[in-house]
Amino acid sequence: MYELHYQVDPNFYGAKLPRRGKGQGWSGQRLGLNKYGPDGQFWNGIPGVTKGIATGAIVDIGDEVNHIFPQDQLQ
Amino acid sequence: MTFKKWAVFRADAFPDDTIEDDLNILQFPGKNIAEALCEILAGVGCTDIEKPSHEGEHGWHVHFESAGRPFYCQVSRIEPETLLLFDKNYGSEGLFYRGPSRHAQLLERVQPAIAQDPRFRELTWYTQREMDTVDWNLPVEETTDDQAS
Repeated sequence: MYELHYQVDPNFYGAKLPRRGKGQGWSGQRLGLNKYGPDGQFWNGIPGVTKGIATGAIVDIGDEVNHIFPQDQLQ
Repeated sequence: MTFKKWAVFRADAFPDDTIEDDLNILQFPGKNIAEALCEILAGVGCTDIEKPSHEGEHGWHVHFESAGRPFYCQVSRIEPETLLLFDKNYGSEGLFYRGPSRHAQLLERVQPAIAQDPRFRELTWYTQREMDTVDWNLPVEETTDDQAS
């Protein structure tokens, strides 16, 4: 339910469940989940759309570099 | 620096103040605990204590100042345990400040004050690393309702 949030957020360890989960909340540790390291928390915490835009921007920059320095292009 | 900035305790002295409909939690529990912490923080000399703010599944945050520097406290009621986090904010330590850690000084004042309050049962403090490596989950206590059924 909160799996990704638990793995990427160092300040989130669990939360209460709606009434149907009476008596016990959701605890990532109780479920045996591990948190990502700092790099994994950063990368996996970025939404997919943002990753797509960032990757596209890097490709765009590469394309611009090719236009500015055409002599560096592969023959 | 590793400080014991996390606390795990049993909060059954505080009524469950969750607001929910048939399907979803509309307001996560812990507002009453955050309000109790506001009083404790005022008692240990903290200032500019703001009203608790709802932070979704994180629970509740209280922003305040200690020695004129910003800090915050997070209350996450999971059940059967409740977690407290007393953490730094931007500018808590000061860029060129080289004295004793203001975060450590805050914890030195706050920890005994919370320990003295009987509503915070089975209270234990942990570092961030311990939170990821130590089993801090509390056992579920059987209630009288459970025993009757």
